[in-house]
Amino acid sequence: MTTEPRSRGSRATGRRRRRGHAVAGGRVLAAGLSAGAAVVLVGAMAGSGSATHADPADPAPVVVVVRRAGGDSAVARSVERAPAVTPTDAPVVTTSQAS
Amino acid sequence: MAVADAPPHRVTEARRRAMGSGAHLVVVTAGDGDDGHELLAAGWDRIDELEDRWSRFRPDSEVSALNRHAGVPLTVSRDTLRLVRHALVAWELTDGRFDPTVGAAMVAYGYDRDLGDLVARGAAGPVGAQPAPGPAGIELDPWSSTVTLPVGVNFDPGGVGKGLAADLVAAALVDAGAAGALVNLGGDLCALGAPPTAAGWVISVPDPLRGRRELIRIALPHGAVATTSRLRRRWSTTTGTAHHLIDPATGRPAETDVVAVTVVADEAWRAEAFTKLLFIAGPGDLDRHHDIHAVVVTADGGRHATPGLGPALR
Repeated sequence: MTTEPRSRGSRATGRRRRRGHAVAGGRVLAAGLSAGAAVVLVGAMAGSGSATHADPADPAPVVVVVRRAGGDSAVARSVERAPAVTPTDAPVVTTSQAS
Repeated sequence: MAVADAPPHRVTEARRRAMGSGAHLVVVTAGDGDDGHELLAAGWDRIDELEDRWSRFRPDSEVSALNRHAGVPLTVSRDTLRLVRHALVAWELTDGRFDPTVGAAMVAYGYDRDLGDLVARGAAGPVGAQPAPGPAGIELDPWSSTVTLPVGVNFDPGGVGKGLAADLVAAALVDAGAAGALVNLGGDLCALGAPPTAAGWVISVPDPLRGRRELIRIALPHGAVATTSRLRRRWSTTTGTAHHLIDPATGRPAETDVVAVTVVADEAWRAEAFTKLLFIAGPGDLDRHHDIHAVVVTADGGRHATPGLGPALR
């Protein structure tokens, strides 16, 4: 792991920031991913036809930022469901208590 | 922990301090060997690794490095990239009620060191508390693994970090061979895979206002629970008692009738972030979020629950 600052000159070219403007499908994540990253996402989405991840190495995103061929951007949210909960008197495994 | 009705699995568990909180690991293994202890050791190591990277109080952590080098892109580990991205998503999902840029406000109120030390000595502040600047200028590039904080932004992983750590470590334990795993970091917990009892993963939430009584006891097939309270993590300042739940809009500890919030969600980072949302927004916001279960306890003793948790109230 390194945390040394990198010069701006070494960053990918073609980057531009996107701010939180309203577009079809949702609002762009204001803290933008790089344009280059989003372009790669288009390819990933084209193959699956469904929402994919902002980071292919990370399986847990909820919001993905996509950049379409025409230049529009959109946010797709995966559908999250709360787990089933059952009231119980069974023995406790652990306790959720703020500490 | 009783396992009388459990399937033929072995349950191994351990507790210790981690990430400034009490921590509890439970692993379920299929064999009779010592796999459980090995898995627990690996789980603690992974928690320590994440704490080393994410602690605000360790000058050599990646989060501290980010805050020292605001305005400059830093190459960070995949874990820290993931942390920042989840924090940004949480900010989006909670309409900014959770905000990872309250770090400066935390520091203004003196919470720039281990809580035990802060509680013992108190804080000289608040000094210069301001509304959180918001994360709109944070740049995150997953392809080069760099994060850039705008100048003036102090990133605080609190409110999503322990939950995300619980998610990551629980998943790692299952990937490493556990049939099931539960990781509980200061009340923010994730349970995955085969549970240790026939009922499931049984989680108790203490009532914050009624001594040793329970607020709810629930069984989950899998999932996450997070609890936050302004009755914990409190310290004295020159202007009165402060707590750790900062309202990003004011930069001050949130002034609310809410005492504690518990959220059940699919993942612990989301559960933890939504506790912050409901703590600030109050019980009136409960019916806006259909992808979580929640209980909000108010100072007058009110217990406000989503339909999924209402029957579990005790």
